[in-house]
Amino acid sequence: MEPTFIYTLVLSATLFTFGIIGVMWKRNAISIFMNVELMLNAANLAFVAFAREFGLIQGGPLVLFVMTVAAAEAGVGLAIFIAIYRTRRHIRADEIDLLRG
Amino acid sequence: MIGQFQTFVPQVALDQVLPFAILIVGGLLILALDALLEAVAKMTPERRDQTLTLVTGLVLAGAFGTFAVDMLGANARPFLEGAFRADEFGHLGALLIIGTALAFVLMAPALIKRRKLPAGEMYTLLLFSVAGMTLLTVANELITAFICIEILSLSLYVLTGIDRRNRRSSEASFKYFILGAFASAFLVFGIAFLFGATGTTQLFGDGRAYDEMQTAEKIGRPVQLPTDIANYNMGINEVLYSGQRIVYAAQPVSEVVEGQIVTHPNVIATLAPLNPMWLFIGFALLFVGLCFKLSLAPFHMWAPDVYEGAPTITTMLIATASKVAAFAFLVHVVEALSFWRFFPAGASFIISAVAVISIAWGNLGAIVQTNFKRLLAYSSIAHGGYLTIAIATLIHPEVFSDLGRIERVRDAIVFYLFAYTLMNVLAFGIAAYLGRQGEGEISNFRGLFHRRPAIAVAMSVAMVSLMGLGLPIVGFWGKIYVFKEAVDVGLIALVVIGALGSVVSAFYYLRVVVEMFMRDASADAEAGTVPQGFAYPLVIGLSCAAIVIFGFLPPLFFVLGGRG
Repeated sequence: MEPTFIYTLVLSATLFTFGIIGVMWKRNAISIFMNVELMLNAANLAFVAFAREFGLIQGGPLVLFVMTVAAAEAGVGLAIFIAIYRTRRHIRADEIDLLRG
Repeated sequence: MIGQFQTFVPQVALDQVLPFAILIVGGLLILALDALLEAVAKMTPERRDQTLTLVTGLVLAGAFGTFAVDMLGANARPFLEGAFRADEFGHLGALLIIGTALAFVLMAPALIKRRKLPAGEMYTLLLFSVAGMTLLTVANELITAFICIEILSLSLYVLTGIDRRNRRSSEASFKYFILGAFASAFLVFGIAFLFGATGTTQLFGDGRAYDEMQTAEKIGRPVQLPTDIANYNMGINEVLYSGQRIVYAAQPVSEVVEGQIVTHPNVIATLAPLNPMWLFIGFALLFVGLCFKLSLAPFHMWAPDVYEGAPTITTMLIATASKVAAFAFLVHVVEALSFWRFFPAGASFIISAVAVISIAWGNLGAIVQTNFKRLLAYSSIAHGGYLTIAIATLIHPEVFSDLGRIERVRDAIVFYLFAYTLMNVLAFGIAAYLGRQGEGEISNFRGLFHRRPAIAVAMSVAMVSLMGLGLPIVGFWGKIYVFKEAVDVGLIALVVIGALGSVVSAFYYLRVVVEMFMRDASADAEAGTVPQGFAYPLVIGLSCAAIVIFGFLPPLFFVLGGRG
């Protein structure tokens, strides 16, 4: 196992953790969503790291699929944010509390 | 020198692809019709909505029919290059999902009319989400499964917020989206680690190996050959077995050794073993992601809000169909682990813990609820917990080495899902039928028996079945099947907690029943308006009849499911 591989994996895990922390702490919906994207890209990095380390050719195409899905998610997500903004004039997640949760 | 290989020609199994193709093409068709009917055919919006409803119903009926026919020949064979693998379990799940979608289409027109919703978009999204769910029940490849989960989730986010002038609906959609996207990230990260640990994203290899593997085990140790043989030809591929990566050829492999032709059996080499740590990390992350999607505690926080805010028929879809699909996928992942004869240590602990927390949290949380849809949300968390007991049974060492027992546990899970779907379709169907009266506070049900006796009786059937204690009713048999398998492998503690949870659940389910039979003292006992037509009574009547009939004759389900 070459050190680069481990470093890449550690970087990926770190980015993923930052993403989790961001989702928990951030208040603005857009920031939360950016952190979710960060988590997805951390996973992509892990895919590429594993693929490179073990010479598995499927790794690359899988990343493309994940990126496509992330784009679709962004499309739907922004539409939902706009729908929220229209009725409330803000998208602060902690103040969207009509339903007790 | 490697000898003859038969070139592997990819084949599209049309009969297996057909039901899914019907759903996807149907979704696109609705999208086109929605635009054309008004612009070209000059239909009034009302006529257009009726036409769209009819076409959606026909598409779903067509998919249901092809699935039912296809199921007779379901043989656990993979198709589309091993991306999917249809087995009996997946097919029954798909039938349940399409059945729920048909209930949705029957109940949608009243809602569309009342809330002035866009029918074309709703039906398109419905068909896409159903396509995602049904594909998920037969998915055999992790990234494919991820895409299926996303297709169904993205459609459901929008279906939740489709009533966008309603602040509760868009808020529910917002919460569902944020937590759903968060969960998806866990899923992908878990899949990345499973990929790293096993070197493949296929659950059951490409499936061709399934039978031969067992012969190979009988033969004994596989023949050792240089590992670079794996790269020679498309006819060779890797599978996982007994915690090892094995190079496997579709045909017996011949090579010339010192002038003589030597033929090797299918298994030609074993590669490096799996990495147990990554396998565990991968499984744990994947399971956490699925727990979010299945609203299992402690990852359930979105469920009550989304159930309350979403239009009731969408809530029905989220509570039943999407859970059936995700559970089918979870069962297939767990089965793949057992097929590899490799369980990450600790997986069993995580699954049991989630089961216990879900049962406790779901049942205790439901007691304090005053909103009917929130009550059902907590109830579905608890039911997810009971089902997770079955998953814990499935990965028990005594079960996964015994094909007959795996089959029995799978039967129990399918029956439970069937019962769960029926009960929730009935409960949400009645809530949608009563409109504001049924979707709001539980106290609104007070005196319902004196206003609408038939509906009150149907609701009592749903509640008693959800409670699942003592009486011969589907909810009861579902629990009995699941608990019996768990007791057989000695998971007594889980079953005791499950039984205690059921006893607690009697309190809040019976509270609804008692409210209905109480006489309303206040004078505002007007009946309220309900949708006209046959659709709602049909859904309510059919699901209620099925609950009672299968309650008295549970084996009938397995007979209808093709098991003699």
